[in-house]
Amino acid sequence: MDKEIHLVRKISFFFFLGLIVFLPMMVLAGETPTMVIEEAKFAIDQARKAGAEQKAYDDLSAAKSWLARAEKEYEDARSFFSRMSTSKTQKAKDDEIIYLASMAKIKAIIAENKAKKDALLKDLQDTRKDLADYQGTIAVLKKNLEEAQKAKEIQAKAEAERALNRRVEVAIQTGE
Amino acid sequence: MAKKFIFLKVAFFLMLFISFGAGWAGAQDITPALQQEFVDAKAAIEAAQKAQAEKYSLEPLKKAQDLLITADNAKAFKDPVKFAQASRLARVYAELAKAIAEIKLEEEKLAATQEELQKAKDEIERMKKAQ
Repeated sequence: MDKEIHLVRKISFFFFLGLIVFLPMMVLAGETPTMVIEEAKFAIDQARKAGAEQKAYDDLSAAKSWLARAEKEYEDARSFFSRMSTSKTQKAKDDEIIYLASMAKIKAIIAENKAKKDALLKDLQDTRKDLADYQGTIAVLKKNLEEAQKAKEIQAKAEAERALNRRVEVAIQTGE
Repeated sequence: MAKKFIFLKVAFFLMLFISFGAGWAGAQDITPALQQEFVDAKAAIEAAQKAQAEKYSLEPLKKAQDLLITADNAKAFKDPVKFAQASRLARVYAELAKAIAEIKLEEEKLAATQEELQKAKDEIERMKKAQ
């Protein structure tokens, strides 16, 4: 039992040691070319799903083109000769790849937004049409209600007149 | 010995020439085409502001403005690569800010229209009951 507890403690110790050593390095690493390329691919996929191929073709094509350039640069940077270059050159290469992939990502998000806007505009147009129809119905109903009200008033007036006439007739007959 | 010395001298001047050449190539001026990218980015930011990006999509707008400052600094340091990259990124971030602002504006319009539609439906129900 004691042995097991000791082992668990040992594992925990190394786990936390690893966390302390590697976590700051992971945080410092920030954006990497691979990460931004993956983000760009995801953004392009999302744009496609939003219908950008039909509704924002130019922006989506631009995004794909930037991504292709980023991937090409990435492949070149991983070649044998590039890996032999200085760390400064490699850093410049990485910056270039991050720039190209970022352009791809943002263009893809723009394409997605444009496609969504198109769908939204259609929704708005349909809702406005529905609203116009309902407002038309309200106008007709209001007119009907007004006419019904007028008819009621006329009927009430006629009944009042008839009642008066009856009273007059009764008065004449009784000689009052 | 003298031949070796001459060879060393030639090699030294050759190295000097190459390093100057490389330095000259690195310190290229900002071309009018690159300058145009900067102007385009500025115009894109203005267009985003007109589309109310400050209200609806502040984050990408801020990013575009920061990148424009980065481009301006790169110009001061005569770094055409950084200048071009920052200018282009500033322009697309501004375009993104504009696109987001436009979509949010339309969403607001749709929400208002849907609310009006609901009111109209309620009014019809009320009128039908009154008849």
